[in-house]
Amino acid sequence: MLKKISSNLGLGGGFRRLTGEICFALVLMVMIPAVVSGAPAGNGTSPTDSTADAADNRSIRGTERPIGRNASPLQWTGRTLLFVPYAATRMVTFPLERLTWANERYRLSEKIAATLFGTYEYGRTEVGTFFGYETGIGFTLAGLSLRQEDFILPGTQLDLKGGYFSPDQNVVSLHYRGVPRTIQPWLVGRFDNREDRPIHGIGPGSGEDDFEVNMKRVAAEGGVVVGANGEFQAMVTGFIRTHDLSEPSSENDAAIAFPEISAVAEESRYAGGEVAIAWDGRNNGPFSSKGGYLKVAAGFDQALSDEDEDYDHHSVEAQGFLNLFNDSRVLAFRAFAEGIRTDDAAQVPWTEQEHLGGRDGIRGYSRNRFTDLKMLQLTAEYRYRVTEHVFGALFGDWGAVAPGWEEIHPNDLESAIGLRLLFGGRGDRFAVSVARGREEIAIYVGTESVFSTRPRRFR
Amino acid sequence: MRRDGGNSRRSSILLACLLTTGILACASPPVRFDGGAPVTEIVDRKNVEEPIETEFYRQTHHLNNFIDRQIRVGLDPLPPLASKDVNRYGEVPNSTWYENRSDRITPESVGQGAGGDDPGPESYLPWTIVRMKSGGRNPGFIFEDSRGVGYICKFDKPGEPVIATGAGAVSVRLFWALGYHVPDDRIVQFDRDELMIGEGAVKKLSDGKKVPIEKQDIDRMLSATATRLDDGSYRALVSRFLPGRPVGGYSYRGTREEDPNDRVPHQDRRSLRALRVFGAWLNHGDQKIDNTLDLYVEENGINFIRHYMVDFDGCLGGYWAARHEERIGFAYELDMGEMISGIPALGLIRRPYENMGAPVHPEIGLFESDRFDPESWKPNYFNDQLTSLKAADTYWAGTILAGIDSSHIREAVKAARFSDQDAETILANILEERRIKTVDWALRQVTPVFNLDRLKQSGMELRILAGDGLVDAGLQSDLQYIVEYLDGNGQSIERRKAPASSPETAIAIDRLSGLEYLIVRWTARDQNGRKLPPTEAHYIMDQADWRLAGILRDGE
Repeated sequence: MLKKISSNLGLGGGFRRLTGEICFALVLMVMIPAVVSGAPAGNGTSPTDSTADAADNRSIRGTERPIGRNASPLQWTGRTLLFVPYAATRMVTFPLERLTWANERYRLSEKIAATLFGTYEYGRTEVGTFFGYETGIGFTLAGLSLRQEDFILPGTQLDLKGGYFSPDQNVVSLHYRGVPRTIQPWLVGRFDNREDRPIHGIGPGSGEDDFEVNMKRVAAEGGVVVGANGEFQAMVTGFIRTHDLSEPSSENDAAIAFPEISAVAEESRYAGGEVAIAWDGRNNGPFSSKGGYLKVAAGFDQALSDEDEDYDHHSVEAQGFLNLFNDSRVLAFRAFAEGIRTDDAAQVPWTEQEHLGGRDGIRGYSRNRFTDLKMLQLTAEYRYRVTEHVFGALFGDWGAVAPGWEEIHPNDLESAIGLRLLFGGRGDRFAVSVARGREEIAIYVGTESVFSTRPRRFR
Repeated sequence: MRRDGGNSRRSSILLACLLTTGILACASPPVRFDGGAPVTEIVDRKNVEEPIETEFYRQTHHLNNFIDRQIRVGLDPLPPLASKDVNRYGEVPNSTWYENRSDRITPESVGQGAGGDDPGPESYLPWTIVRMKSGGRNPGFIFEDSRGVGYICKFDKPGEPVIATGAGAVSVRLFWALGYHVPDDRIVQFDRDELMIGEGAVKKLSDGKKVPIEKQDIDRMLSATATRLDDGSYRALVSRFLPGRPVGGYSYRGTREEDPNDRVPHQDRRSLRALRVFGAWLNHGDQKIDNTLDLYVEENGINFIRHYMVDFDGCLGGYWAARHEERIGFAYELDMGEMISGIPALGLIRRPYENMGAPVHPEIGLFESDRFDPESWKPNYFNDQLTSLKAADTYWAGTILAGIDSSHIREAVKAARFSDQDAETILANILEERRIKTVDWALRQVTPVFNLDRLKQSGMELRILAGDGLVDAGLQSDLQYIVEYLDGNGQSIERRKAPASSPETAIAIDRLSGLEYLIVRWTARDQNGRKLPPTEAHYIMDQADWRLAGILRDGE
């Protein structure tokens, strides 16, 4: 019967084994113990004196804890009730456990990679696959990576990554890092393809609502960092980026609403540069318990087509960490302000404006929910250690966009509050966040992003 | 239809049988012991077929251990069963798991450990490397000394010299003294020139390929990981190969299916449950399957499995050297209890291990005695053997630990070969302070009376010269004892009403006339009014004299 059910459901031996295991556990927990409990007592001698030399004592073989002879009805009831949460947990963990076991036993992931690539390493070149986690290019279902050490120059590192999330969303990135000495060169290239991307708040001060576009973006940035390993850093960056927008092919209402306004140019081409100086006094990057971070940046953005407008941008970011107790209760603050300045705001494409909303902006609002020329973002977070490798955090986000700084008032800030759990060690931590904004409750899964200091030009 | 009815009838009969058996099992008679002698040696060395080597799958273990077992066992309202590898006195007989050494250990023998008077590989130079170490997370190599004896060589954690190797050398000796089968581990110092690469020596790459070991591999490993001493030599911990063929570690629960000698589920072994107590003393949190090892050995033409504990460099703060986590010994690596209480508590709960500060000495890891509480100690993993610990198991462990004293500890600590004599003194003091705390806690888990076989029949009374276990262990006793005498039917004969500070007791001979079986029950209260579980001594009339037949602690 069970075989037939599982066969009809398309489930294999794993399902039957799980069901069998649960049934077995139930029998063990509720019935068999009554028999087993007789073993240690009442046979005239203490346990070992009767069991040590006995040839046949197989009845006590077992892995589950049977019910002892002194068990009370309350304990029996508790044991029986325990079955429910245990079975529920087991339904989830059993398949994972079997998969993990198979992977370890038969080295499945290594063999899959070996099948695809032959081997992991070719001299100083490393080839790998990754599945379902953040790898620096966003959350992807599956991806390929290629890393080359000592590329052109000794001590350098070249990373080429491709990530696939869905047919509508995929990315290819190229990252080149020089030796982290006094002056470190770097280069990042990235191609994103995203269909049905939601866009909000079109144009400066626009009240237009959501619509969707297909977006293809090519961006390249390169530069040098002076004092890469030091507390004080100076960065000079050059970039070029293009955006191509088109109407989605799907026939939903949002697609039909694609507007014919200049802010949503079908294509935009920009090149430019930025100079920044930073002081990094944190003791552990985004997960610091003390210290602070300050960065000031300014740059220009030159339009490469006549339809678009040149502009310049400037930003200030500050982070502070206050250790309340034992590096495990920490108050963290972040303020980030960025604005663009132009002669004709209406001709600055939507893709080039300041955006707010999403997992690394103001959480509890959809990504790029707010768009305008100036943007202010504030975050306060109280972090506390739950247990080893697990931190909890209560956070609040506030932010606003506006055509001018004078139009951003404390009373007008959008806000969100939330709770998140951070899993992991001292390096990257995996975070699960729940944020409640004015418009929605959002759940975010991925590595830490709010307090990271990666460049924000890849919008 | 008929068949279904038959099944139903059979099921009813089966259920009735089960219930009846259960009810009968609940009624154990007071008479528990015959007049036999206690078992001192378990016959578990019968010839067995060569077993398959079991493997340890780390990720699978962690997934099962940190989630399923914590829910399944952690929430189980039922207590574990009484231990099954004990004799009628509640002692653990010698077996392939355990060997009673407490009555014959000396400070010198503890200092030597399992290796006895063997001078070790430093006396048999040069060493020939036969392969690189593949298991575990730290690099090392396998070598043979000039006698041809094989050793595995391990180093300290990078940046934390001496701590883990020293901890390993000390702990293995103390576990040997406690009665466990352990390897001969010792600290060595050697010069690079004494290492030779053997013919055909290979190392295993990450993809499983084996390639010859080159001189640079050794140099790179030594420079990256080994502690270098002032005279230019290297410091390492070496472990002599155990006799027999390794067939994997032993599980926390159940038995090894293909080993007919393995008859008692591991979670029901007192000798293994007691590792919860000894682990607390030495902060051996890294008790997991791959730190145990079964060896298929041959002795006198008989093949059987002997069970060892291995890898002790995580004890005494050694694990801290690798992980720098304050919670070691206080919480599981992923502690569901702390998760459940910690999330809503918003950090307002201060854990007992927080703000521990730095280690007291650079050659000793984070290992201290002030905040140490043996009762709340936790290993890194949810280990069924350890969580099955019952009061009687704890008491037994306490008596074994009471047999260790500061002179044993001092000799064991010398094996660490610290560069600073202060480290030796500090570590020995911490160990002694922790031992006292642990023994005091363990002995108080049941009414701690001993010498129950010392009977004196003088004149018209039978006197039992029982002693207070706390006093015997050199501790302060605040206990007040109540003694009750019962016959073989469990009927009370006499009860000493006034509590006494000594468990020594006497009863008039005429009260015992006609009896063949006598039960004496001691129950103690401490100064806080806490009533300790009783200890019962069962006596049997043997040729006109009373003789101890068995001891039950905590109503086993």
